[in-house]
Amino acid sequence: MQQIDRLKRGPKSHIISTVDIITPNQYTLSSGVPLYAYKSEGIGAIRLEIVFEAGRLYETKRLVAQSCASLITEGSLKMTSSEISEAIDYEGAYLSSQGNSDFITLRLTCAKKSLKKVLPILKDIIVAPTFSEEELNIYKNRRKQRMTINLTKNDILSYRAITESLYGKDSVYGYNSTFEMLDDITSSDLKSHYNQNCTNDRAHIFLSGDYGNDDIKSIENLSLAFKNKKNLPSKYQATKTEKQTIQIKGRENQSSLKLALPLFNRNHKNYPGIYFLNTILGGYFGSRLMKNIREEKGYTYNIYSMLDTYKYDGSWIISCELDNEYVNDTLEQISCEFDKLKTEPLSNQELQMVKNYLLGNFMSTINGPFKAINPVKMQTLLGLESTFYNQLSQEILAFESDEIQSLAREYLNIDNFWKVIVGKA
Amino acid sequence: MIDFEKIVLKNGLTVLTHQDTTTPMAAVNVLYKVGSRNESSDNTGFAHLFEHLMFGGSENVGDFDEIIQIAGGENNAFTNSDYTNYYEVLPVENIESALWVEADRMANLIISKKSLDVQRKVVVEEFKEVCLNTPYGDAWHHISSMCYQNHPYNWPTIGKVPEHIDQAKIEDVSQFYQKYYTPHNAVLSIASPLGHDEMKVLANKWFAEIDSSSSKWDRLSPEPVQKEKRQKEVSADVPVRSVYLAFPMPDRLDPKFYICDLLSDLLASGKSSKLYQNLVKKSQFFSSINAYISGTFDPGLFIIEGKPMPDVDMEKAKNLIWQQIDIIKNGKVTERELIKLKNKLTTEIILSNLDILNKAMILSYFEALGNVDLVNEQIEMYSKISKDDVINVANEILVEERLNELIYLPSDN
Repeated sequence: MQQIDRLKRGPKSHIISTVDIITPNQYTLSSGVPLYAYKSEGIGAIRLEIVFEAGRLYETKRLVAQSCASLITEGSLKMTSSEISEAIDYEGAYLSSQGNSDFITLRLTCAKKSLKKVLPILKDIIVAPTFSEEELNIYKNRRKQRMTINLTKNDILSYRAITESLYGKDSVYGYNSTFEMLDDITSSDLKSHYNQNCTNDRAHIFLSGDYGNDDIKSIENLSLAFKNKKNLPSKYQATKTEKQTIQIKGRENQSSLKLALPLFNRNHKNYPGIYFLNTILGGYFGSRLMKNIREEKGYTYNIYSMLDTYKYDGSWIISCELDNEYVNDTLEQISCEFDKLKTEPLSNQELQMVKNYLLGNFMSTINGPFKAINPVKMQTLLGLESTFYNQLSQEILAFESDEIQSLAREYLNIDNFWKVIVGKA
Repeated sequence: MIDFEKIVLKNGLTVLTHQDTTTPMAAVNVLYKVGSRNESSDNTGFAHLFEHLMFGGSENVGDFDEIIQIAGGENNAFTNSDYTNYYEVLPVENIESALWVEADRMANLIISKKSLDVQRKVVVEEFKEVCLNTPYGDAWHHISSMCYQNHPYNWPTIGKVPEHIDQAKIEDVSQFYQKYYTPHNAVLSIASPLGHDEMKVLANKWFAEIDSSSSKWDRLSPEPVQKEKRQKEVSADVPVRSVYLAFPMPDRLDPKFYICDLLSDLLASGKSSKLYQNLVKKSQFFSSINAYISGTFDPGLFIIEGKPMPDVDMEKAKNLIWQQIDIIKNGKVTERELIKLKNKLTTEIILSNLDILNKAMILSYFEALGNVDLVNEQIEMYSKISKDDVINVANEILVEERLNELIYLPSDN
């Protein structure tokens, strides 16, 4: 053993008490579309995100939103799908389009000098994507093959089962994709979804990086290509579901275990407290579940809990892949950890650790020229107060043990959790 | 461009510093030049298991994760065939917490029987999750054992079989630590808003007193040149058929490495690439196809991987891939294609240099590789490549007698 005095005592650790959240420049473009822009001069790269409120929430038919998103960039009036990818790749740019429950997002990342070349292509795409039958068929076939593979993975099966039973099989947050749904989609479904929803009243633009004022002009010009519409506001109706325990046969080397509790979106008054409690339970490496089930017992490579939140709803999910022989004891241990959180006060050390961890982690997730705009993006898109993340940081700093304990008593009852096990049946 | 400075402490530890004044965060990265290539063939998976044990505690730090979490940071590690890499990202005011934990475990790691017992189980569960319980999860096991018959790249980093991990002994663990976890065998890089001098002072303060026994290098058996085609067909619990074509290629410092990388991009990077356009989009013979290089320090692999559509038979699928390879070998590569690939790589490098942790990591990486200056020469290495280089390398590398072919077929049950 080496004796090094220096190492006997560690350095003083400083408490993190503030997180700097940037305020981007805000513009309302002449198209009526809001633009949020955060400049980082000299980095040589730019990211542009166009987000439409056009996800599953606005569908008239299953899977249309996601399929529409995937096919936006696959052909325009002037260019075929392969011409578009050739032109974008030639400029060294990345263009993606994705759809989820709430949104369709077009994201362009490129070198500073390429933006002028790429924006006209993007505009041409936005004016009128073709959604051709041919491209739709290619998409369907590839997606089916991908589904065939994914449906043999335990963790995917368990996520599908738990979200479907939790939100309801007809809910936008709960329904699962099937071959039949894919077969049922037509080219005109995609066109009408696009024309109805990817419109100027549902668009938000976020720009980051090394842009100039002339680029903002070009983006304004681009936004004039969005269809001009006044849509009615969306309506989300939560489905009432009954608690379930589901066992599914899957791959047998390990089981995928998921527990879940219906919760709420970020607007709920208890969100900050549950966010804090979730971190302690299973939200970071030093969490209670990791310490007990991985670091003490060695039952799994990873166990975590997360708040799976959407714009209008949310749930609490605990998830783990482990050998079948450990499943019962793991369930028991999760319940023990719930009890501890309900009955034993948090030590000052753990409380302080979670506070520092969460703030430091937050600083890290918004660090960098493209990530800094994220809090403002989330606040805008999810309909949160413009001070949401500042307030969340302040609330995190202020939490005391009894507040967290009382939330644990209110929410952490193992009997209220949905349960799915996929593995050896 | 990553502006850096380098010093070597008297105990042999190389220190690299990079200043980024735009961030409130610091990244601390410690790379040890030991990976699964340093293992013996009957004790595989050990370097990675050891990485798990590095979190078990050291003489003065009880729980690494706790110290870093209290400091508002995040820490993790990974192991591959060539090296083991530990890192912390945290607010710069707490940078010394990261330096302290890294220094203490470099000086005096404590490995308890309990920690070994638990981490063996954890890693066996990781093995099951990543390799055994996932379709195609053992592809790398098959590919590496087929392609490397002498060199220790013969097994993947996770290990050949879970039994090897189960049998790891505490004596092996301390020997491994003594041999490889010395300042001499490590690279420390720090990226933060602090000045270079200040970072060097901190590196000295925490690391300079650690003793170094200079380690002997392992002599790794070289892989002989492959003379004939190898084939393996696996019947497994997979939902659809899959084909992998793997070819030996030069090591990371060979100029041809860059040409191979560009060639793999020409085949499969982005939606406009040859394989995607011709075999997925236009003809719909494949549902997915990819080409990539393993990127190892020692001579690596060039791999093409695809899943044919249900109505395409395997012989035809393989021929279709070969046709695309032959197009390149026969010289049908345009200047425009080359410019496109170089533009893409340039953007990729600009983007990767925006991240503070990534910058710290690649500084350590290139230093471990043998030449840290390469970190700023990457764009130039790629831009030098000509059309003929690509065609010549394709003709040299992508040949049938050096092919290792792996096919997955769904078993009936």
